[in-house]
Amino acid sequence: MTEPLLKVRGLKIGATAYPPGERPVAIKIVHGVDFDLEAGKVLGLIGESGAGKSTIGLSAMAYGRGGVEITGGEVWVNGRDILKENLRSLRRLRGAEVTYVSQSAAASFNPAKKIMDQVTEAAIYQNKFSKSEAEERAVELFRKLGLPDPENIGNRYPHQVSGGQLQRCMTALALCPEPDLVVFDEPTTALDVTTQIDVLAAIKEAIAATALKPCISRMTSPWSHRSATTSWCCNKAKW
Amino acid sequence: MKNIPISAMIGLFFTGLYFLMAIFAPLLAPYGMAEIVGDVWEPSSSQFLLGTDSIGRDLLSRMIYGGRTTIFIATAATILSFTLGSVLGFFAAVSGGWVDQVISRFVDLIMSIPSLIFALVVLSVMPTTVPILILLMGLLDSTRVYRLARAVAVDITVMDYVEAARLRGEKIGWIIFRETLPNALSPLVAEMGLRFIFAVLFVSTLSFLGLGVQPPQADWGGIVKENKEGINYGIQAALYPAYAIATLCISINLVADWILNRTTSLKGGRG
Amino acid sequence: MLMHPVLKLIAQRLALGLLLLFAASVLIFAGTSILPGDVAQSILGQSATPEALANMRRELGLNDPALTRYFAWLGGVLQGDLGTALTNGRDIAESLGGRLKNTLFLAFWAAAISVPLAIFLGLLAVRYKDRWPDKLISAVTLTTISIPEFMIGYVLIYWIAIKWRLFPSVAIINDSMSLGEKLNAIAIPVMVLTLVVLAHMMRMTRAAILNVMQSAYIETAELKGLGMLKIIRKHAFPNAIAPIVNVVMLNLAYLVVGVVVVEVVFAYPGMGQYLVDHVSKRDVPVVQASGLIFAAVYIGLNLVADIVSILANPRLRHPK
Repeated sequence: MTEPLLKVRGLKIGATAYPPGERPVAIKIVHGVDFDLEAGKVLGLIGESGAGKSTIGLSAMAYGRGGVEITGGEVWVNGRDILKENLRSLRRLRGAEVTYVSQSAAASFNPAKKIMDQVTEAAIYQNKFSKSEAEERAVELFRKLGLPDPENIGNRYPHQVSGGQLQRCMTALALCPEPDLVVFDEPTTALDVTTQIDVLAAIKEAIAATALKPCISRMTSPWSHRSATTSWCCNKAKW
Repeated sequence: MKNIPISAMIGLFFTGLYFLMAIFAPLLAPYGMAEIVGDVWEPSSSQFLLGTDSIGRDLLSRMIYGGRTTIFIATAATILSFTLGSVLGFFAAVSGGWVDQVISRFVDLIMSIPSLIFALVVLSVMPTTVPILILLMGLLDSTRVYRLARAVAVDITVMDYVEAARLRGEKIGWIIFRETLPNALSPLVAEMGLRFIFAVLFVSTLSFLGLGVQPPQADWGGIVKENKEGINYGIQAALYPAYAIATLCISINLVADWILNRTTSLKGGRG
Repeated sequence: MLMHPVLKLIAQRLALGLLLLFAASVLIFAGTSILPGDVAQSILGQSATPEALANMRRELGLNDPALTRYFAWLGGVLQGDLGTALTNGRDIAESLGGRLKNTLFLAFWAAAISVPLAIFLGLLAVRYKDRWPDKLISAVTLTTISIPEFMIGYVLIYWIAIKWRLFPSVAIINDSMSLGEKLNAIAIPVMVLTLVVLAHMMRMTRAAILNVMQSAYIETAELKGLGMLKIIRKHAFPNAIAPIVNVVMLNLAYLVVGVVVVEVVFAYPGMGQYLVDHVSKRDVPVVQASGLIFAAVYIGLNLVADIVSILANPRLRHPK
């Protein structure tokens, strides 16, 4: 069997908490997680809020959010342990080999810049595509994601499109540089139920259409209704 | 007690020290406030710890009495601005509608003129007595308290338990004192510290400009005014009030910071 | 034709500013006229004879109703006639002209030094957040906001002018001086004003930048693998510029007030000293005129801050 695209071994993640009036204390968020993800597969992470789903997902980019630190273990992407790499080579990984879709597209888009510039930025910056190629690709993605007026929507500013549309733009942003792995961090949490289904279907279609290899996606509990969406779009769920 | 950080302890200690000095000034001061006891600008000695001032009064005694005046005026002005500002703010928030509009627009108007300029304009026709100073500072500063109190109260009045009280048919006064106030207290207490500092700086500035506390009454701003000529001869007399005000204000700042942090981290949940 | 919503908003703000200025003039006039203090009594003192008081009141037009007096005053102000000073009978507009120029000269140099310095220190504090440079800057600014302007003034005079003899302790300037001489004369007052506004400006700049840097879109940029400088230049700066300009304008407004006290400390021939002088002399027309000018500058700067934030907001610039 070939080497998996993403191999996580003994991953430990911690953070520093600052309780009022006391010394800062180190807390553990993730206590040794192992999993593999083969190319072309979808892996879902399920857990309660605060269980560390986002944190594990971001570790595939060796990124710790706001004081969170990866304290131990190995994260192999494309056969390299990225936890041993310096910031310079991590920057070549982020936005090129691994991309990220956040749960709140509204906050994750820069309000002062046009959507097109933000969607194509990583692809151009990482020398994956030229500016015109990247823009063509973006329009193609907008069309596959079912966005209205795909030719021109990129000239709008984030506040000029709806929340559901923006979440699709975020997916386009992640798919544009043709990554090997996409981390979906509850891509539909901020949306209402009908829009959620639309966006998930669009994402699934775009993934199939662009022959995207694999992705990690994370859904939240309450399991009762969310695990339905999880099992629907994941080949493999993990909890 | 052991949960208080060191900075807040230092702040509490000095704040307490200054207030005790203000209260017990007549017991602590070695000489009378306006008593001429030595030569002009004598250097510090065992007899006059901080030396003497521009007409030979003991500077330490004047500093202690001056602190008393400054702290008294600032406290009174703060109490006035607080009572007025928060009562009006809560009242406006709970009433809403045109009452809220009228009060808020009037407060906007007062705040569109810098306090110092407004105070100077008013003091050009009013006699400068202590009650008038307190009234003027308290009224001008109540605008800022009003804004905070109104904002806090508006936040709270839309919450469910206040809505519940309204639906129970409670009176406005009951809603303010039993429902709104207990929850608005911590930001208001922290703000009180800042308003007090502002009042100390303000009354000192007015006295320095000759429009505040009138001689022979001592206050910290006035001591600077009386002794400013001495600076040209390298005499530090005019600088002591600066040190006193700075330590007092920094101490209160430290305490206010602590109160604010403590309450925000209580709200913060996960830390 | 439909007006662009931004233009409409700005027009609204301008109109509101004018309204506010008008209301401020009412307030200033009311403050000196309707309050129980009597101008005539104040000028002549407690020992004045009733006839002298009556004469003075007639001379000042105090027997007319307040409303008549207000509109007479406002009409004059709108035509550039600020009235004559009670104390020396001079035309107020004439005396104010040169002093306003001096005050603006002082405020300009204080701003020219404090604004870049505050932004630089704010960036530094963000760069070294929670490390010693940040803490040092916080401690120093906490100290400077805890001391009134005039006391900072005397502390600096004591050390810089008297002990080290670097710059003069009084800031007397006149038209025959060269720019270099003038700058030398105002060196210490400029330092005082810089210290006074620096603290607020730096803290607010720090907060504004931190606020932007903690946004989710900065994380998005980081996850695109962009370098720090590029993130700051392309993603943080366009969003931080508006709050920073806002901070600067608010502090310039504050500076204008700080000038009043600093001018008195350094015997600087500006508007502030003129105002304070005539408050003690109870020269009401001068106080009204200079109070109105200070209020106008203050309202104007706040208005600019408002308009800048409107212009910088992409939601308003590019409506749906």
